[in-house]
Amino acid sequence: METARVTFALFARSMKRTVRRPIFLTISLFQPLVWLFLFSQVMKTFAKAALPPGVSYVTLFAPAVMLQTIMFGSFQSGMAMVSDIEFGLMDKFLVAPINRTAILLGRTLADGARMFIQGLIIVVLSMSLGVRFVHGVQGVLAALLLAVVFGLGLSSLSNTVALRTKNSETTLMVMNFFLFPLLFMSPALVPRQALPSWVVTVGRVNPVAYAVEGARNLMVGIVEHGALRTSIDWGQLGIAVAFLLGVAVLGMTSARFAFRKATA
Amino acid sequence: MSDLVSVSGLRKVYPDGTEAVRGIDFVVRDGEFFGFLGPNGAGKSTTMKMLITLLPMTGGEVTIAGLRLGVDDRQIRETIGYAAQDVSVDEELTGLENLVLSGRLYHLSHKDATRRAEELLTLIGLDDVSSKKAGFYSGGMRRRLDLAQALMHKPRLLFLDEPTTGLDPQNRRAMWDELEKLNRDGTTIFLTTQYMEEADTLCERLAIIDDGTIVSEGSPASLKASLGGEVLTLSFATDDPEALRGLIGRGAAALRALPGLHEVREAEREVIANLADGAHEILPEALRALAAAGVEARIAVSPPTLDDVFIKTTGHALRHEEGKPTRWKFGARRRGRR
Repeated sequence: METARVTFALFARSMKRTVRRPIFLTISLFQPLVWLFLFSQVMKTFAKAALPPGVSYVTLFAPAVMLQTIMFGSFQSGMAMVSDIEFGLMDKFLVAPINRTAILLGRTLADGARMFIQGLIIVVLSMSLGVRFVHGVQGVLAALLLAVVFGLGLSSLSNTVALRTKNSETTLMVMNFFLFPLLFMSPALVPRQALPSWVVTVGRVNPVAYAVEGARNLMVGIVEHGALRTSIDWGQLGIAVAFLLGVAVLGMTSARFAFRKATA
Repeated sequence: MSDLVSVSGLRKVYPDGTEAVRGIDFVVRDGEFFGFLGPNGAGKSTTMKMLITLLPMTGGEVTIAGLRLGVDDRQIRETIGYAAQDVSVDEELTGLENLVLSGRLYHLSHKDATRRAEELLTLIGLDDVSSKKAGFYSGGMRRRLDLAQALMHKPRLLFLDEPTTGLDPQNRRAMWDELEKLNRDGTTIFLTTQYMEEADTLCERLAIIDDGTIVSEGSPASLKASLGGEVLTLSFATDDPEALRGLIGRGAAALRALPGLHEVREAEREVIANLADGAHEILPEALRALAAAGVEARIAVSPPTLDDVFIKTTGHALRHEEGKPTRWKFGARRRGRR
């Protein structure tokens, strides 16, 4: 019970920090606006040939932007960890008579809440662009949850890097180094039908590919046999959920180990 | 007074082989104001970080309020308060929010934490800015807020790592008043400092630490008395290095020839000697000897300072260097470990 209260206090603190910092708005609003409005304008002509008739690029792209925002916002967690270490706040938490799990747990919960809000903003923006969500509110919520699960895996990994390097630039670089290729080798920006076959093969082990297709599956439907399938593909969804849960568990376990090692 | 902290054979060897603390013994008595005086890199902060459970010790036995360090760490954490060398306030939170968070970390309810925080904010004179972000606070205000954070749970033992480093004289003075009041009200305080004046003003008892070893220990008065008598200083009016060196050499030689003066030392710009007890009568003699040697100098006689104690016990002067604090493992990048 005590641990729950401390976890909540640390969660609340992380949330306050998040919403008070300008980077939150930049990442949650400005970047997605660029993607949704500018990038989709540039891409729609290219993508047209690969898309089934009547399906707009922005429809397929909206779930990807939601996911990208969460993915690239996930490093905020590791960077905040570095900042806490540098500002001595970590020491302050560590000399307190608390269960140390609360430190990581409070942060993780705040990450989850932050990502959910960031994802939700994109959903609203997409609706204003005329994107239709075929499975309604439940579909959107499920997609957000799926993206948050993946995002928590990534934010935990960013914490692992942060705890090992104690350097926010390195944390940012390492995460970008892995995420950009994974993004480009996924059907996030380009319809799967337009991807080279080797990329599709790689996609079988690419978590970003599972996350994007999973989110599409739940929000706007996935392209299948030259048409937009509007019923949920449970097979794809099941594999995506399992795969992304795996990433999350892996990330959290590694963060826990790194935290134990750094505070031993 | 009983011992609140007792340390024996405490050692710290870092993984890279650096022996930062080389087997030290000391006690802090209940209710005492105790200090560690030493230069950067002496092992002050490393010792403190071990005592507050942030850094594992390599060897030794420590008990704090009857609790064994390394065994009862959680209970030790409940007993102590700690303010780091670099203030640890969250710049995105307001002063009040920082304090309430600290209170929550020590299991106060939100209501109790808020009440206690408001009480402390008034006490440290930050009540009018309590709803401003701490990022807007001045250095002195942050220090006070940081101290208040360490006091939220009314610890009976307070650890302060260089609490006034980086403060201007006025803020330093204010902090001293604050700490003296806390101590009078019953809080045992253990601080580290690199300032002689601070140790002299605040500490009932102190240990001088250098290169991981305690070189002397006692009250400031007894440490100074151990030097025996007063200190005589010759200073010279010239700025020409050549002439100054000549004057220092001849002045020291003239003094060495006199009985009643011992340990005549040539410093950078001065000659320093210790006066045997009640040796004031040799002053006219010293003046005559200097005149005979053709040395024109100003003579001052003063009671010994902790500076003199430091030079005597460590063989070198205590230099102040700002801003190279010790961090535990986490600090490796931003600051060099000491």
